[in-house]
Amino acid sequence: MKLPNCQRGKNFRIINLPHDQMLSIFSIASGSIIKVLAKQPFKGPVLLQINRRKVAIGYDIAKQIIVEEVVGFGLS
Amino acid sequence: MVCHNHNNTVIEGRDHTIYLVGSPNVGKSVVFSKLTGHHVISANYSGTTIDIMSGELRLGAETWQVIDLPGIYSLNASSEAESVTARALTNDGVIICVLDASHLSRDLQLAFDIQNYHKPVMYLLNLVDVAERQGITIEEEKLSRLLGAPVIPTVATKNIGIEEIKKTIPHLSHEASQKDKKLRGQSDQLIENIIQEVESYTPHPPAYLDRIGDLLIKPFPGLIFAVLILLIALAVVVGGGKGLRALILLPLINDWIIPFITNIVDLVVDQGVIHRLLVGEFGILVKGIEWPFALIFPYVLLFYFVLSFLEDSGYLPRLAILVEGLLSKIGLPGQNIVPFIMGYGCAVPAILGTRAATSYKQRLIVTSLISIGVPCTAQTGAFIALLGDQSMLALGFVFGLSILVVCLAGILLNHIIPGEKEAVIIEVPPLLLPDRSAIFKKIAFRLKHFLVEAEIPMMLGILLAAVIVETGLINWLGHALEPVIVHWLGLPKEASLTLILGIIRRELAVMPLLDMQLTTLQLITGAVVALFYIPCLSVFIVIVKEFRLKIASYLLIGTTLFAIFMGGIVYQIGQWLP
Ligand SMILES: Nc1nc2c(ncn2[C@@H]2O[C@H](COP(=O)(O)OP(=O)(O)OP(=O)(O)O)[C@@H](O)[C@H]2O)c(=O)[nH]1
Ligand SMILES: [Mg+2]
Repeated sequence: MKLPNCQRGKNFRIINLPHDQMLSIFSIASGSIIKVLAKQPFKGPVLLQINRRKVAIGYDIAKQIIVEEVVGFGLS
Repeated sequence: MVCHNHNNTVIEGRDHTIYLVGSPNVGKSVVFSKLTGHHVISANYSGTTIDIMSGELRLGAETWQVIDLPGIYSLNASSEAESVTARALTNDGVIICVLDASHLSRDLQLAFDIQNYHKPVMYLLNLVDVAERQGITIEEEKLSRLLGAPVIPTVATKNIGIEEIKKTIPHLSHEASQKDKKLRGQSDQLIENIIQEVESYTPHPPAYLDRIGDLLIKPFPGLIFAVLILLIALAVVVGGGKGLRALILLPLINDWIIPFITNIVDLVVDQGVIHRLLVGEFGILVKGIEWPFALIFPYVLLFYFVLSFLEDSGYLPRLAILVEGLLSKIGLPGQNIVPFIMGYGCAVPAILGTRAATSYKQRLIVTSLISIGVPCTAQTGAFIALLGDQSMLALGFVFGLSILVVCLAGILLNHIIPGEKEAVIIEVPPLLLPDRSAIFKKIAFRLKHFLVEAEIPMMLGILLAAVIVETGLINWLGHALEPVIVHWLGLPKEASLTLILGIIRRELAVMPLLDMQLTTLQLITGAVVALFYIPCLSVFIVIVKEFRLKIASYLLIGTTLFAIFMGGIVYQIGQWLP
């Protein structure tokens, strides 16, 4: 599933993502677990939480990030 | 304890340099200001510092040069800011590496990488208060042992830990002693292990600021709050400014100060040219006081009050994230939105601010849009003085037109300027309650800057106006520009003065219209010309420096033609309306 299609409030594991240094700095890597906090209107950024930090990922990169839902994983 | 005779053997000024390094938005500039007493702008979003700043710190008999560097996420030199920092660190000196206690895992990699420069280093664990609020505690002794260097917990804004830093600096003459085998490798695993070791997290319900911070960034209710906040900001600046002007400044200046000055000049100077230059129609002692202080100052003051508050609270990046979807369509993606908003204050820091993390294409778009159609606070103040008393509708029209043109120009430029779309990744800073004294310092800093930057050119502009009027040059000018000013724009001949003065400063393209007894349509026409007319002299210089003379000249010619074109259209259409 592409990141912008994800449901808000749920947790996801990243399966595939484009190579971008900024992403790795925020420890957004293959295998990391993220929570989708909000999706901004008009193809705006996807706001996600990784560890305890909140990062907004622009739509153009977000749609290249492939994730799968994780059930029963507590990332509050 | 390490003694510091190592320092004494080194040539003055070399080993005495301290570099402040760290991720964006960890508080380096606040630490810098506290150490040196030299105020630099800090704000609650990434990329506030775009240039190397230096100041002095006296410790006993020694003077240390402190260098504030732009924030970096890594030392790979992959952005302009990173190469600036990497280059600076090739010189001798000691490093103060500022870490964010609430995001330690992000900063540890940098903390290790910095040790590759083999310089004496100490770490600050800043924003301890924010970490605490989020339930995070860090054992700094353990961290210090693992990093092999001193670690000082600080709350820079509240001065906590600053004395400790000063005490530690003289003893820093060894590079980090971290030679522990198990710390080799610097892998993600290592960082995770360290975090496990030193950080404890007590989950607890989020503090109220964090809860508000989260609400502000969700489309609902975030967008509603955004509209409310912008309306409040507008009310404070426009309403408050009018109040300040009408109730305090105008009476004070027009009834007391100017008559006082005029009386003195009457006593000292005989009637004649000099007298008129000083206190005549464009007397520098009259207009040079009335324009900047009575008409413009209140708006500049209140605008910077609102802006400083929004900056320090951490609201601006939230706003940027909310509206990114829309604004990216007019060529203002992600990282450019905050500098663009700054453009409503002054174009110079706005254009410089685009350096932080954006491509050439994006920088050019932001710069062009600001030059074409974003009025600075001073010009906004002038518009309010010119139109606000006549008709609020006219004022609304001018601002509406400004927004419309900026949007259309953005779409157009976004299409025609070649360049890649850049990746938008914005970290959301914590919402902070701005510190009152920090806000006051920041406003004072900006007002001082405004007065220095604005008052001298304004005086010169007024002097120029006075000379043009007194020498009769105005008749010649009016005659020469008659086809444009009178026939195309429907303004009186003397209005040609605005085109000359507008080169110096944006608000000077508006002010001379004040005393010309114009009709509402003429006022609007004049305001539209001023709005789109060339950016002021200092902006032009910045554009030349940041881009090239060629681009600056394009903008200069383009904006001039466009301003006259738009003004004419408004006038010609307005004439046919009832
Ligand atoms: N609550 C709290 N706020 C702090 C502390 N230190 C800094 N701040 C605030 O954090 C924000 C960022 O501070 P800056 O000094 O601009 O950060 P910087 O590291 O210079 O940022 P860049 O120049 O963008 O790299 C500002 O709003 C400061 O007022 C602290 O210890 N506690
Ligand atoms: Mg800074």
